[in-house]
Amino acid sequence: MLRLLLKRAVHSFFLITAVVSVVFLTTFVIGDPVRALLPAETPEEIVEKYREERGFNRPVLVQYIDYMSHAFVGDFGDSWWQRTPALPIALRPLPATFQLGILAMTLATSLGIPIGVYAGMKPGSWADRLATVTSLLGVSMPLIWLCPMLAFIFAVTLGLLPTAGYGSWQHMVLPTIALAALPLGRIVQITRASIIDELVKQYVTTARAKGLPYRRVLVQHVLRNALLPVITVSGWEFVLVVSGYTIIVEAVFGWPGVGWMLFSAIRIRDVPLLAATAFVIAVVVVAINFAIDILYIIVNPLIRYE
Amino acid sequence: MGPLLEVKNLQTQFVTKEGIVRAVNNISYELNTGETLGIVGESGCGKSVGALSLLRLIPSPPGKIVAGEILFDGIDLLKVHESEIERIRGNRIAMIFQDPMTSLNPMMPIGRQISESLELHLKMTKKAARAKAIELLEMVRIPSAADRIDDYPIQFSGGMRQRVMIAMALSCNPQILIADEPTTALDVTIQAQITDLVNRLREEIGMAVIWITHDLGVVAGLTDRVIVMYAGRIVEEAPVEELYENPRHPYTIGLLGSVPRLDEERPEKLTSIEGMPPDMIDYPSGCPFYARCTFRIDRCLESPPDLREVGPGHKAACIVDVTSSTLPTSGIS
Repeated sequence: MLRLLLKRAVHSFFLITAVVSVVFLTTFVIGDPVRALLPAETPEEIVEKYREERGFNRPVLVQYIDYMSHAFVGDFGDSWWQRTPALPIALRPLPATFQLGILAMTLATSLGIPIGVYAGMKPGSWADRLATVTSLLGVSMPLIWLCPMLAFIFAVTLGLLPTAGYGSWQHMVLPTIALAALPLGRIVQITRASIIDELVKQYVTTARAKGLPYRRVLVQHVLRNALLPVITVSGWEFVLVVSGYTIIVEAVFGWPGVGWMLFSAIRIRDVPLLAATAFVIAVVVVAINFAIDILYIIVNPLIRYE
Repeated sequence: MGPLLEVKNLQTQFVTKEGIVRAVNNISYELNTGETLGIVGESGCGKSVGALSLLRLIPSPPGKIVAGEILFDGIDLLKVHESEIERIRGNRIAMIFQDPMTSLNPMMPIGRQISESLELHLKMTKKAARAKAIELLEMVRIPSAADRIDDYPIQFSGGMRQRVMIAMALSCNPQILIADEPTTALDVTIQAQITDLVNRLREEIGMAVIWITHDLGVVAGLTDRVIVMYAGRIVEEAPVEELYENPRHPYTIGLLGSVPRLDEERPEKLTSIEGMPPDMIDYPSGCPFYARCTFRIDRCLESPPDLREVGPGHKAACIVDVTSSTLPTSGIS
């Protein structure tokens, strides 16, 4: 088990290195950072001077090694916007994103699992059909449409909640709902499918033949088996929530999280800050995957024998 | 004293998109205290569905027991409340299944799966149930049972898992054990160990056994009385020796002709039964075996033949008086 985790840790290190390399490649090699930084009508001499000053005229490999050795110790250079080290700036919005992400995932799992279990117990019933249609709606609504719609209905038309911002619990409601919609739908679907799969297995008949009431069979035998795929999917969804969905949701609702920071860094063309933010997101993704692996090992004792 | 278990006119059906599958059609039989009854038939003949119906374990929907009575100790198991039958399942009537690789919960230690029954039915404490579970594992000859009680099913071989299943089934000293093809998925040498084990424990506990199989060889050495099923009906019922010596239904004659025997001096050529069992949805109105029968006459098509006495304790569902020496009628082509 320890070996498994160690293997994962090595794996994660290479993954993060790869992400930082890709960020370097796309921002410093394919793009032209100096032209991005300076106004469009800057004379050529000044552009060249800038290039020399900042070392962008060196061979790419030298720049890469230089960049990576600094990145390795968390130095992504100074933010062009704030003129202070980029990494601390990129880390600052992390708690706000986690606040929203954890709330959304708590909502999605605490609603999604019971709904999925109930629907899976009675496939074809009206309750199941309702759950199936609603979850399909949840996974197929584009966030880019859902976020403005929520703001329009609940903030603009009904005036119940603020359109955007940060501070009170009212500010959290709409972004949380928007973030939870997709994971909720997917968790309902996977839980339902998993329960249906498990209930026809022979061990369920064995447990019933022992005289256990249906409810106890469900709770003590079926749930543990059925929740394994749900854990995996919830993990992926959490990763998507904090690394993907938040970019749209935070941008629309003005939530000062990592997604909003990434969005801002792109908008103001702050290359070091963009690189640092991408790095932070990569580390978060890897960390969540790591946590899911550990949770999976705890829930599934058989992993030790595989 | 009457029989321990009395099945009367049991009918179980499944509703499918294609139509109603008549899995069990009007079967009646009795089981006496301490007796071993064999139920034989090919795949899909309704023997397993019939056994699951006894404990109301048919998945519903799509399955449904549409008629019949199952009298156990004076009560009709088909009429009692669910909680009542839960008190009987695993306690007074226990069951073991065909595939030991899937019958156990893969995520639960085997000891827990055994002690669960003990806590439920015998109201044992966790500690006492655990001690009893070790004892039961020793009874079914699991080596170093005390060390293995917390192991998961994946750590056991097929034969060992079936032993665990047996330990689980016998934990509450049941009056009836329903064994639904428990040796089919196992190697031949392991099969013999499992049948011997069940037989020995049956004598110790004094329980009755319903042994369901498609293997006439298993039935011969193990049971007192045999029921032969075909297309959801009982076609013949006889004491085991009588059935082998003097089969009276064309299907049984065909089955016995397809089994190699070591006790005959010059083994005859093995024969097979031509054709396939009937469609269980579009069920034939006459004798279900008509299409494959070498003794058939026109009258067989009128209605499905009832079981009739053909000897002491021997019944067959055939209107023609056949024995293994009867020559096939010439009229078939």
